[in-house]
Amino acid sequence: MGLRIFGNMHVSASGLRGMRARMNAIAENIANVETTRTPEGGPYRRKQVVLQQAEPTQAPPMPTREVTGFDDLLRTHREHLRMVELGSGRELPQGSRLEITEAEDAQPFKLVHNPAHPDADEQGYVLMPNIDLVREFVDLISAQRAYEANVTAIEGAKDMFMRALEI
Amino acid sequence: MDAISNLIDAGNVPLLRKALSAYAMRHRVVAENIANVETQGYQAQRVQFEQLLEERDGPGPSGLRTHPSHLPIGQPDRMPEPEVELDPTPFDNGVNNVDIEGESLAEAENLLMYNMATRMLSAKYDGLRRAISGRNG
Amino acid sequence: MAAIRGVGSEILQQAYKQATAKPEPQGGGFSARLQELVGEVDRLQDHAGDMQTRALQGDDVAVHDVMIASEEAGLAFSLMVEVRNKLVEAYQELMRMQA
Repeated sequence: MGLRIFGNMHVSASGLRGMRARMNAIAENIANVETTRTPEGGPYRRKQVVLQQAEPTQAPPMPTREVTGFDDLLRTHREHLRMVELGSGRELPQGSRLEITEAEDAQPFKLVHNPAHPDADEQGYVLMPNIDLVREFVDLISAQRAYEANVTAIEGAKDMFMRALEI
Repeated sequence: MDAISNLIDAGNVPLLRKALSAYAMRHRVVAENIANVETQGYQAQRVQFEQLLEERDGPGPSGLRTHPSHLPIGQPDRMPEPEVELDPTPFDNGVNNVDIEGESLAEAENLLMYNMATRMLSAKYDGLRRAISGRNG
Repeated sequence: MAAIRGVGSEILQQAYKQATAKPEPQGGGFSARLQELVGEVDRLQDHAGDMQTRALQGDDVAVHDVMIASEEAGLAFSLMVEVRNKLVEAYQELMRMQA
């Protein structure tokens, strides 16, 4: 990501990503609460986003080339940082490495008695998406609040940084 | 001469610097808590500092003076190190124990403390600067 | 004088006290302390430069530590200049008295 001197902000940015992923999934669920026909066949299955902390990975070792001066030291140091950022092992501060996994909710579909529905079976039952609208809205509000809190945290970090410049 | 001695009594500077480190650490920890409010398996963290200060507070300055002409340095051997520890709070937000409203409040308070400490430090340095350069005449 | 980074303020206090004390007739002890002061100023300046470089590289340094290092290095340097001025004054006074 960016410069490590701003590690605090990276943490919050990570949180923003997590909350946005959740809000996207929730929005899709809400939009498809009544979808009984999907391209794969059958009703829409609720999407959920699982957030977990990823395992910290090791940074690649410093280049072993001989360092001949201060400029050289600066350059090798920057190369090290770049390798670390672009490589598979992103050396991010602990806690900012959020693993965002999108999965489908395995809970069974709802069986609703609605003979008038075009997809109702002979007994008049139709399989509806496994979505509880109330829960989706509650989750949406939580994710939104959390998103805003992360934004505030970034502004706070910026504020502190600017304030320190005036020491 | 007394006025100048008082001006350059920078005994609080080490404490102010430690406090700034503590506040910076705290912002990081609070940001992590907020970012992980819906992370499964996450446990909230917190920074211990003020409590450590209280615990070590003695009756007065205790700087180590190895020479009689040394000015007293306030409590250098009582400077507590801010510590990150797991927050044992039983709060339950449905996913983990992060109380996002509490964290938001902590973040606001922390910001203000940081501002206060930086201002105090600037004032100390301003005083030193005046004492040094105001010596002529 | 303690050669410890980060306790620049204590060094400033001590140096200031000694600088404003009356210069000894021989001058030996005083000039030794002056040498130490110069050395300390050097160390503080190096430390400040190091912190600035790390900040510009975007290293994981605290911005307030960078500003503090710069501030204390600057104050130490100003103090050294003032001490030098004081020394020159005292020398000139001495020359006047001997004239």
